Amino acid sequence: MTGSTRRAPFRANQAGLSHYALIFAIIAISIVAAFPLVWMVLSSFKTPAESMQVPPVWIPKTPSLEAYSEVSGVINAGRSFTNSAIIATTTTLGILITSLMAGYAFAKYRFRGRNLVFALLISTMFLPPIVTLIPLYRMVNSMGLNASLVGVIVPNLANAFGIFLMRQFIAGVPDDLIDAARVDGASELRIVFSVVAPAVVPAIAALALFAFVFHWNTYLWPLTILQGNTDDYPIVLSLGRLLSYNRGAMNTGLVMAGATLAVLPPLVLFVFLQRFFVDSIVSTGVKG
Amino acid sequence: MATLNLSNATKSYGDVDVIKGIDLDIADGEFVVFVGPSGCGKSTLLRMIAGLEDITAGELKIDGERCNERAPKDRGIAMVFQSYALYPHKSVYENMAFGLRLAKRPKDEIDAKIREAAGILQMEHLLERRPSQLSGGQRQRVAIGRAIVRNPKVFLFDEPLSNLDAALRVSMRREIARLHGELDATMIYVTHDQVEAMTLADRIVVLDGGVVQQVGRPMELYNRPQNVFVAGFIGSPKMNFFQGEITGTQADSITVTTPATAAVAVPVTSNATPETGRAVTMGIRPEHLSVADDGTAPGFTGTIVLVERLGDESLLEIALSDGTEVIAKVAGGGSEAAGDTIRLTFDPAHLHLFDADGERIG
Repeated sequence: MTGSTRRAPFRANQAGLSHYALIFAIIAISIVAAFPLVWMVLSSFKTPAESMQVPPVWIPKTPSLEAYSEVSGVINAGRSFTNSAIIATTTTLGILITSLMAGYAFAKYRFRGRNLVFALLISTMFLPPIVTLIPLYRMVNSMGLNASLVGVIVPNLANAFGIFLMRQFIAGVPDDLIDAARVDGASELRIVFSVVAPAVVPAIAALALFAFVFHWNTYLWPLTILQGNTDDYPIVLSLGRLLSYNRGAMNTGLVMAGATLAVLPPLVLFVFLQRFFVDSIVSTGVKG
Repeated sequence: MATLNLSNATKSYGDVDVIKGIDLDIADGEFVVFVGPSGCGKSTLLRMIAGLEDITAGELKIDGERCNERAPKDRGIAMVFQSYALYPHKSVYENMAFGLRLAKRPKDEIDAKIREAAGILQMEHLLERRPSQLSGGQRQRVAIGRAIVRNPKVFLFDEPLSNLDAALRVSMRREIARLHGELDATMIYVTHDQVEAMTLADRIVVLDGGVVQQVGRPMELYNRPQNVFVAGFIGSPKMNFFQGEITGTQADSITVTTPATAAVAVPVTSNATPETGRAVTMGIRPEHLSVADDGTAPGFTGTIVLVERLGDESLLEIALSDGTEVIAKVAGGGSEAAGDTIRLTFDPAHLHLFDADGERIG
């Protein structure tokens, strides 16, 4: 008893020190990570003169919304946002549906070659996207879907990471629950969407967030398949036009205003769903 | 309510047979308990009846109709799982309504059935709650309610009380017995707990290694186990066994001698004609041993190793001179203590005799 009371303060001090070191590290990493975002937002309120000033002006002296109003003059922001929303939302829905169904099959069905097929699927996660760009382009082109939003969306309606994530979570759903639904008369599709899906809501939310942010920000594939069809450009591609606008003297404020607008939807979504995002990483041990 | 017939029902996973040709007829309204040790195939057999496992060979008939190829929902069964298997995101009401909605029953009928089942199970006040807001006993009651509303021909219970604590298990056991009386339904109940089997069953099916060892009424299994396995499995503490040999045969009895006991004349009722010199196993239940007052009755002497006092009775673990260990159930309040030498006697009418293959001969 005496021994433990002597040792207790020592442990508390140690815990305290490591606790503060951890907090310091978190703050330092957060500052480094947030710096570009904060710089982007602050720069979007600067005048062109402030943007180019050396040494740099951190906080704009006379914050201005001029750059924001100018964005619409250079690009069709409304159309670009709509395109981004269509691409990100449709792709996310597609990924959720295919991942739920395939994840359920891999987690709960016993069939010959299951592990081999799953391993092959997982191995595709390790392919750099650039490797599949040309073959994918040729395939989509041969289907006559080039230069269209459909061509941007279709190849991304299923992905290995989503299937992997869902399989991990669905494996934890008790078999008895699924058997009970079968006895109740539910079809396999009904089981997936009425029994399994509600049991893995955190994973669905996390996957929705992953997918939405990724496909909102995706650049290379739309650029490749849209073939200069600027009407169907998502906001991320349209931002490029802000960069090339007034090339003689680049308007940093204009670019930053466009980028700030572009980042808002995924940011808002992340704020709402971040709890699920963290839960999913903890549960699967997967880094996003 | 319905009859259920299994003929040569077999289940194999690859080359491994887990259920080996089971024949069983269950009468309308009967309460049958499948009992056996872990891995004996009792849950697999229940799942085959439910349609959750394919039947590799043989035939299942419910109410006279072949059901091998029918989906679970089309077999007229309802199942209660060990883990309750309640849908966590649905209220109690919705849990019970799920199957009926899938069957596209009218709303009024669904509501009436749920309220009737809730009344039977005294859980009207729980209908709006989520499963996470219920105790273990309440969850199991909801699971039973979900089965009742389906109005099944056969109720299937897969170790429904295993997750409950001892006190709750006793009360739920009584509730299931009451329910069977009220619904007068055909029920099949799987358990590894022989107390549940003995108290609930009209008939018990003892399984081991995917084979039916014996089917019978509870006291039939207790009084006349067909083989050593059933003799050892039914009864708590388990039956004591002595290895010995036949040293004499008479018209209505066999004389058996074991290293622990003197020659004992065991009454024989079967048609077996045992020969002198054959090896046999002699069994006697712990409750049929008594502390001897005199040395005239057949029995044996040993040293008490352990005394477990249960109040009204005590369990004595006794080591015999040949190394055999014997359990005796004696009246509580005695002064027996570890290390004491004790003589136990028995009435030969209570002896069970099995041949070298473990089959009953007397």
